[in-house]
Amino acid sequence: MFKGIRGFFSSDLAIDLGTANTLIFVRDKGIVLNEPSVVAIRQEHGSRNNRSILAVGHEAKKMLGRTPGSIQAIRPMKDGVIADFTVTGEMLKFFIRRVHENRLFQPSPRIIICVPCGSTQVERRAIRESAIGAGAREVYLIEEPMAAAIGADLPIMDPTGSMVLDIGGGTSEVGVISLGGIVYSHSLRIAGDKMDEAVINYVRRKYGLLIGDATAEHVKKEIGTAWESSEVRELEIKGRHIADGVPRSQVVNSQEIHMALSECLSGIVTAIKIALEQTPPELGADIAEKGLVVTGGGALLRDMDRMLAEKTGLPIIITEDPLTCVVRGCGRALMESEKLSDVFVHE
Amino acid sequence: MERPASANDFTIGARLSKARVARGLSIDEVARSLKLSPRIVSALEEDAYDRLPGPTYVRGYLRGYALLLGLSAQQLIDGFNNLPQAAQRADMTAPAPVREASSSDTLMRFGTVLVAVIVFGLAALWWSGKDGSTRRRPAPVATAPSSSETPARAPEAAAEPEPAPVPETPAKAEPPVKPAERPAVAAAPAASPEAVATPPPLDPNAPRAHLTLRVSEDSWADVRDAQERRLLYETIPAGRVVNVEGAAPLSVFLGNVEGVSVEFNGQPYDALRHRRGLVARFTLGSSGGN
Repeated sequence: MFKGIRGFFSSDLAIDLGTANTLIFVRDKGIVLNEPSVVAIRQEHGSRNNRSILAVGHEAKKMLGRTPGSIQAIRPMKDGVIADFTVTGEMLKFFIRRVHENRLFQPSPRIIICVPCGSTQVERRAIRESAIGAGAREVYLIEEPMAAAIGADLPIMDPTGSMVLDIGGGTSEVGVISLGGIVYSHSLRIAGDKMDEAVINYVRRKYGLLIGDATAEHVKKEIGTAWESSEVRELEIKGRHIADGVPRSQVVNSQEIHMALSECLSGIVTAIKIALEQTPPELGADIAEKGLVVTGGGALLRDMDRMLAEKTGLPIIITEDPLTCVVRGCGRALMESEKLSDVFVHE
Repeated sequence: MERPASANDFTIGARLSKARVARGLSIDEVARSLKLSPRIVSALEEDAYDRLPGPTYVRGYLRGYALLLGLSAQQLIDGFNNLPQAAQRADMTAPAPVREASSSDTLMRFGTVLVAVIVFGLAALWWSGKDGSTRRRPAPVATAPSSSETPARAPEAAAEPEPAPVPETPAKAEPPVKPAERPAVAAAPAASPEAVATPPPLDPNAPRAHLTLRVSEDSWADVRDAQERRLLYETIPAGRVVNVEGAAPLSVFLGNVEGVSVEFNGQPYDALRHRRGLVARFTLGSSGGN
């Protein structure tokens, strides 16, 4: 009811509600929040259904896999979309309050949120509703490849093809953009999480060692590589041995991790090739000339550019600061919303 | 190929080019391993950033090139970031649809209605003015007292409808005579102009003026005498010669001045110098009228 008045006291936000991390960009301030999309919930015993938020973001991520029975650390986003509606809403509300710290009123901002291009109407609606539930006055949705391209400062409004690959936590998105519109886009659910899973499975199969998500992610970031002949690195990991049931440590090297990741990587390469096949030839020529721009956390995997260049034959450009590229794009869409109104998703 | 060191060697392109030559690579080889076209590689080495797609791409190319040559990618990119070209951002202005003249625009609709109203208003004004003038003044037929047409065109002139405002004309003796006279002109082309002439001048002191219009292209003519009476008021078809006599000064208004040659009191008169667009308006026979 008082949203309009409260909106006066709120800053407009652009949110990259990612599977792995949530980033918030505030108009005129830049990126003010970059936290894991993890929520820790305490289930209180006495009364029914009395759940309270214990921690959100970094604090909650530390608890992942280390919680007692009364606490649940969950990732409410899965594969780029909302898996747990209420918890996502709570998380958003928490983050929105966080960026409006010293305000008297409950914030009611205008929000731009990016959604995977492959998300369904239901999934989009869920994201919109949860943002409105978190107090948003108006919600605009923007497709991730578009946000990534804007964030990477590609000439999206020009009559020239720009191809962008965003390897996020839950989804990888490949998009071809020209004249302010998406010519082709595809979202595949192979991304950071799948790579972690692949590492877990590989270590379990090869060494009979069970490791958690956090360890797997650490291994991937430290020694993971996309190119088989890159420099070999080693890392000692600790996990529970399946047969003995006791913790053991094991040294793994980057070539093993490359083998573990190869299936995911070939999935991404296939998606790029399909995208190139589906792209009209003129735009394909532009892309072959200029190259493929890679954003998202997956772009930080060692030698990703080299592998993609070899497999696709395209010049590969890893953007500066790929992790924040999408939210910067959302932020620019927020700042220039009059010019960029056409890029928002209209339902 | 090795060039002596100069200030130029500090540019990014020069450093790349030097390192490439030092490694014995050709541009084509570099282009092949970077999957770039040789044009882009040479543009990078020439620091010709206007030939390259945009800062994001340039940073990517520089990074790849630096890795290939074993240079520090970050140094090169920092160097590029210091250049003014690195700061320019892609223009996000959407291509504007060409729809200024769409008929659905409110402004356009309003404008159209406005124009229509103005046109109708002017037309109405003109009609009422025309009616008024015909009623106020003696009928055009009556006011062409001394005009005579050349024989060839006479019947046509007679056929021109000059209907009956005649009864309304004030009671001068002449008007009722006119309708009878007009067919006479048509039927007997040889009839002298004097036969048609009526002596309307009220002011005997006013000098008589004689105007001859030789028409080579269809033209509108309006000739009035000193009393503002119409001596001639019609479209004259090409090929005719019209003589008009009246009390000076005569005010003349020609519609297609290029198609008419004017003689005033037997002297050729250059009407073209009064020309404004197609028309000319001038006065003859007044004090300085010529």
